[in-house]
Amino acid sequence: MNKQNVRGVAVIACLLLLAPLAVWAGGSREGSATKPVSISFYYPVGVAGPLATIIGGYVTHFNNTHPSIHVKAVFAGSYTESYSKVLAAIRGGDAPDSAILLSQNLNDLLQQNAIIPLDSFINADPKAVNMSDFFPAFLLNAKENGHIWSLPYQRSTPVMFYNKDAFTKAGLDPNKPPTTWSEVISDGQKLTVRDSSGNVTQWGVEIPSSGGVDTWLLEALTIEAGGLLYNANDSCCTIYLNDPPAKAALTYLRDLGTKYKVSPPGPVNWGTAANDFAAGKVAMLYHSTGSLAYIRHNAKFQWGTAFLPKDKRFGVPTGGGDLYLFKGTPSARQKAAWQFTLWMTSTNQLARWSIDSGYVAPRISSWETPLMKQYVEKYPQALTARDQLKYAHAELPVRNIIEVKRQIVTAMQAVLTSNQSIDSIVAPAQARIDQILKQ
Amino acid sequence: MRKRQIVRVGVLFLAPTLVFLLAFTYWPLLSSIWNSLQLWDLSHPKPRWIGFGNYTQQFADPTFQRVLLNTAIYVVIATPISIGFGLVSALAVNGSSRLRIAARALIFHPVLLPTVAIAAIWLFLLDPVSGPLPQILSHVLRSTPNPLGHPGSALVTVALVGVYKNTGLYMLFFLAGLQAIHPDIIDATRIDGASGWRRFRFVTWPLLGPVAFYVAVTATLDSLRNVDHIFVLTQGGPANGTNVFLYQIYLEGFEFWNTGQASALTVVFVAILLLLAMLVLPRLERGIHYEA
Repeated sequence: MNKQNVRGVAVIACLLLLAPLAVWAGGSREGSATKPVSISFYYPVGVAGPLATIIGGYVTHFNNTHPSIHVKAVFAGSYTESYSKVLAAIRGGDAPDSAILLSQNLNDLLQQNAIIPLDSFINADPKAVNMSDFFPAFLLNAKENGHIWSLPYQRSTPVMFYNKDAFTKAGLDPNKPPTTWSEVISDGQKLTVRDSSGNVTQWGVEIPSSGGVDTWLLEALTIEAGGLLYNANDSCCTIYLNDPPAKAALTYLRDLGTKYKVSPPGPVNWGTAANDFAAGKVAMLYHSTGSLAYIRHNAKFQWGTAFLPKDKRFGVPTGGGDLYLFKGTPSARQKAAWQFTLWMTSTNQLARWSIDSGYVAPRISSWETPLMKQYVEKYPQALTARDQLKYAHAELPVRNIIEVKRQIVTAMQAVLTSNQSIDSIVAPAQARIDQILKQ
Repeated sequence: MRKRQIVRVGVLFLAPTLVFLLAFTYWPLLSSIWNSLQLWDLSHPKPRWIGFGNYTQQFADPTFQRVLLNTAIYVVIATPISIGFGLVSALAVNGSSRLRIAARALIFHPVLLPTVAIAAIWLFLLDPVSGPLPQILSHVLRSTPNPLGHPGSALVTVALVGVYKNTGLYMLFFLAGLQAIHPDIIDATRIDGASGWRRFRFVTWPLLGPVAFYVAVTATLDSLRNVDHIFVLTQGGPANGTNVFLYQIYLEGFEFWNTGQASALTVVFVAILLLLAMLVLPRLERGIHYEA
């Protein structure tokens, strides 16, 4: 090869490597012509089932019926991953136009100055959305500093799924699930089945504590024990882990496995728990109502849903995701994103989504649609989560939410995997959390 | 060609690689060092100089001490076992019978599967309530084990899933090494009457030296770097029992958004890797015969 050829090859090699960049640069320039307003929409999937495909279908339908707007749906993984991707995009100066994130991400998003309040949109066209049509419990996490920052979309409460066939077999009334903590233990003992060699073939109850929305059920137990894991008057910055209600909740959780032996010892994984229930390996399951569709499709037995049993009172946190709109994009795109948000949270669309996923439709009017009425008639189990809303509290709202939750989960798992006293585990965790929230 | 021209052409050839190395390795490393000296997290969105504060805070943190210990245990379990399995299976399937080729494919296939998929499968296999593995073991142990349910057993379990994933790759390296040994040498030892073990100990193993060296370095790095399965199986739990260095960096960096802290951890991690390389490489190479 002579030197010209060598140089030529090197140049071509460089060009080939850079070619994708050129295509990418060219591609992004093309979009800004007179074409429809293009907006991005990040969304997570938080429960079992093919929900990403379903959301993709909604977005396609929206794009087909709204020629002036083009929504680019970006499946962003779990809730935590979606939140990370959104924050990374914001830091990189490329905020998304809209996203579904946890309703409990609000205080962090506010601190990052990342989102826009929705009041002006809501007030500009009062006919477009009637805020009193949303269940008040689902708006608890959406309000801060006198503004509304998000619209509820895929919302839930935890419910108790129970296997009616197993109840009958154990001599229990299949229409009377336990309503108190002590009934969970006594029913659980009847429902825990051991084979001749003493191995458990069916557990009484599972309350997941790892691998998903980890602190959620501890929040529920703490409310039931008469307390709250945070200070409702200082929603950003106070956690009550080292307080009697939280410690009562942790004691109950530990005792179910080690003292009463009605639950598998150690942490139960959120992801596999719904499968355990559908496989008939556990008779009672605390899980998101969002897993209703999965259980509906996979359980081969009669099953029901019930309120989470009470200790001192009934109670659950709400959970799930809201739609947020982001700062730093041109107003034409913000308006388009608002149009999309309105469509996604419309009465019919929320009814559709509730049926497809198992989430609680957050609008009261959605429950009056023929579609929903028909569904509820067939699956009255879907009503439990809605009716439970009257006992619902905001879910853990503090800032630095992911780091705080990690500290709580680590303490909870230490309680479930060691013999140390609960005080000796919880006190240092509380100190660390105070430090995180104080900084 | 004149010398200057050779240099120019050389630079041109290197350019594509250099661009990527600069953009994705050297620049991020330098900015990590810079960021590790800043107070930069969700509560402090604008970075502020704090010197070595992130380092002193991390070293005092019991979580970080736990993470260091977990990482060391993980490497000590996963590295020798995966190398050992790789070597033994390479010796066992070296040859061209159909059975051996089939066995090779069986041992190698986890390398081809995405780690996340492997971990998701193991999550269900290991589930203490509906998973088959604990059910089978319960007949032997008289109680149903929950391998991922306790900090100690969970760390061993995730290390073994790592072994399952990687050992096929090391087998392939050893296999290539074995097939590069000239048959005449083995025949000669046979004529000299060397037993199977002595043949391996004094002929095959020394000739595998360069490969074994390469595999040892790769396996150690893999044990330090592979965390995908931990994401799926345990998220570092229970109670931080399986939280290893790289996972903690991910948590600090991309879940908690403590960018300063995460950068400090990254710098420490890179320093440990460099130190390992400086300590291990010259020592390992000394006993190796590159000429076969």
